[in-house]
Amino acid sequence: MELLYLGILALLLLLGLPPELNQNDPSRSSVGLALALLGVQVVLVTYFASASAAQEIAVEGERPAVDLAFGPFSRRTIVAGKSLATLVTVVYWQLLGLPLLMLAMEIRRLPLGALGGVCALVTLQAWAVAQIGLLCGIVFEAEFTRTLAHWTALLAIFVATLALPDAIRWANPVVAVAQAAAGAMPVQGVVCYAALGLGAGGLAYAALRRFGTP
Amino acid sequence: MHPAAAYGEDLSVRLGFGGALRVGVPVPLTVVVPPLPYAGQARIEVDAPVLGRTRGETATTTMVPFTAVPGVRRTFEIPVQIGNIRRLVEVRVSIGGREQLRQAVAVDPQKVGGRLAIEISDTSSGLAPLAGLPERVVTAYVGPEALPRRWQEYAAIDLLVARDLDPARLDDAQRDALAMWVRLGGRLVVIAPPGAPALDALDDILPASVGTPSVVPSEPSPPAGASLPPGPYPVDALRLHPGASAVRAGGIPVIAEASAGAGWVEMWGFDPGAPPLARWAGRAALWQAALGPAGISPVQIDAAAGQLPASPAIDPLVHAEVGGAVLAYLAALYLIGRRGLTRARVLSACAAVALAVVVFWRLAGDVRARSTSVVEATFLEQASDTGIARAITVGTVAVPYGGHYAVRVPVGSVVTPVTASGALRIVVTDEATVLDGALENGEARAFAATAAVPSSARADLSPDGRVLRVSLGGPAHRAELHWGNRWYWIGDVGPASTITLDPKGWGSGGGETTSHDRSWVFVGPSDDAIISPTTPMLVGEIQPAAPAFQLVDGGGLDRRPTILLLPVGRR
Repeated sequence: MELLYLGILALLLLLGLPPELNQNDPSRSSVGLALALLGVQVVLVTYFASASAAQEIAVEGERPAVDLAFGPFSRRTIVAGKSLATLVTVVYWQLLGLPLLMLAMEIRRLPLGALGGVCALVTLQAWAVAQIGLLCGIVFEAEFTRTLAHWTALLAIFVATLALPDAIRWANPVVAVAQAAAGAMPVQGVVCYAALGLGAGGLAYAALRRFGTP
Repeated sequence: MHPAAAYGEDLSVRLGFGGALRVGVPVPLTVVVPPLPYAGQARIEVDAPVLGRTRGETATTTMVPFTAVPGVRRTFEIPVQIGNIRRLVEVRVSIGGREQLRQAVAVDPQKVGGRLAIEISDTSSGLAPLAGLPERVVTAYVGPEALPRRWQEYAAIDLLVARDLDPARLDDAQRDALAMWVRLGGRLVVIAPPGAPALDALDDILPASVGTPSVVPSEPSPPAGASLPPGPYPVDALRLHPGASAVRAGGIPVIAEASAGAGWVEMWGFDPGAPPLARWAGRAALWQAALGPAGISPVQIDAAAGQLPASPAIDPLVHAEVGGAVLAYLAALYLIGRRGLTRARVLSACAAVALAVVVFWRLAGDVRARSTSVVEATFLEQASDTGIARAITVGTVAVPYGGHYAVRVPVGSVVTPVTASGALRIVVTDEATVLDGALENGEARAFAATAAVPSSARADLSPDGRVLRVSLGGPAHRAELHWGNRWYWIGDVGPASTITLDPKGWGSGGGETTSHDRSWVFVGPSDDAIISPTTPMLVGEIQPAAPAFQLVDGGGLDRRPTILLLPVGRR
């Protein structure tokens, strides 16, 4: 999975190397190669993290939250452990993609200063959406329903938010990353995604009650 | 009190020739740094305003580094190009990183001319008749100390008049620069009335030597249309050099004139400012003849720069290098994680990431440096009957991914931007000139470097116009004989050839033809705009000499064939 993710980033990086593909055009807003890579990265990391949490993608050694509910674990331990595992996975993936991003940005002398903030934002977004995946994995027992709910959530987050007014367009993860890369970290977006992640985690905690987990 | 102020002197700055200059060509800027109480690394920075495409104030900065010695006065001559006469030229002197002196110099619009006539004289008079000419001729008077030491800084001058010039007051560099400028197309009038000092130091460019004092006799009925008024007035009977022609008054050779290479030199054995010449009605015509027609360079630098590619092809190895590095990174991660993730493998993967960050960082810098490129083309204008030629090299710098560039131009060349350029610093040292700037991606910047190079090619057309004899010193390709807008295809020419011309072989207009493989200067978007000879000229491609522009940090250099422009004499 990591190789698929990195392969996509590497392919985009190589395809975007010709300098004429990234020339400044004052007639339209500049969408640089690095920004495109960041957009793809946020989509891929978010999808893989949430799909793993929703058991849409099986990860070796990873057990569903529902299975753990029948084990000797408390609800708090299960939700906190799953949350932390997701966070570590997202950070790990971010780290793997970092050299490619840095190469794309440094070739074009784009400011690397914003990269740390952008990576933190991507991590937060992916973690928050993965919490929704975790919730779906607990609430929906049927695989079809679970997948449907998960994809509905993804479409709502990545597509429906594009229809929002400009003032709150930061709700879209790709737009928020673009703003952060431009040096304007969308603080409302950070708060919104942190709240979304905590809220989804809280609902997952509540949902585990139906399995009789203490 | 400021320590520098204790010395009581300010920075002295002289711009152009007594303030006179032309826009867009190199002019001398002399900076005299007064004795200062500081030692250390110092620099002079000159901000020459330009009319840029970008909004706001734009200036090209020329910087001269030097080592400051306490209590020592230093004089610097810096070539600058003025592009915007409405703003001040600012000069700053910094020592040890701290600004010590600053002065702003205004450009007097009255002294910015279409044509410039400069007189080296201790008295500010004599050029008044030129001011009455229909074309805007700006006149100025300077002392010998104002003469440049780089011949390229004479570029603004259409006519230089040397009155009462004692060559002993010029140093070797000034004499060499003056002689070089004349040979490469300058116009010089030397006024040597009776009692003028000997001009032996400039003898090889002068058409005559100072002779014996004499008097032009009076003529009761001078011939109509006489070149000079009747006497009596004192003159110097000039001793003509071989090949010079003379204008005589009362049988005495008082004006000697001859070409000196591509230039023209006249020597007047009388003082045009003294009676009766000062009141003579024909003196304006005399001066106008000395000024000559406006010189038109056969090479249109703008058009040449426009024809050079702005985005040359990038070395394919650059992209292959990136692809290889990325694949190696992916392969390393695959090998680490193919048997599942353990703590040790995750740590190994993190180490691979750290290594990749360092390697990719350096790789990105290498990609940028190797993608940066210069495309240059040199035009060699041979000065007739001399062993020198003017080499104008037009170079276009491109930084495909955007960013910084540094281009070195060898000493002896004076380099100027072809188009107005802000964000440019020209560092002038004794070893080289370095152009230091930044470009956006997709942007290119053109520069022109002018130098004198040894060359002794010649071409002679027989009086009947049927036979062309050339001696080039090497082969030339895609040669054509040009005369106005007409051209005659010759093709390849040996080092010494005799070519019989067919009167029916002349063509006209520019552009590509199916019958001839014409040189790059005659095909493409600027086909007939780059070369515009007004006199017969042989144009051909020759082996390029050393490059004029070199990227300091490495990168690509693409060189177009050197174009030889060889004036054709009728012999």
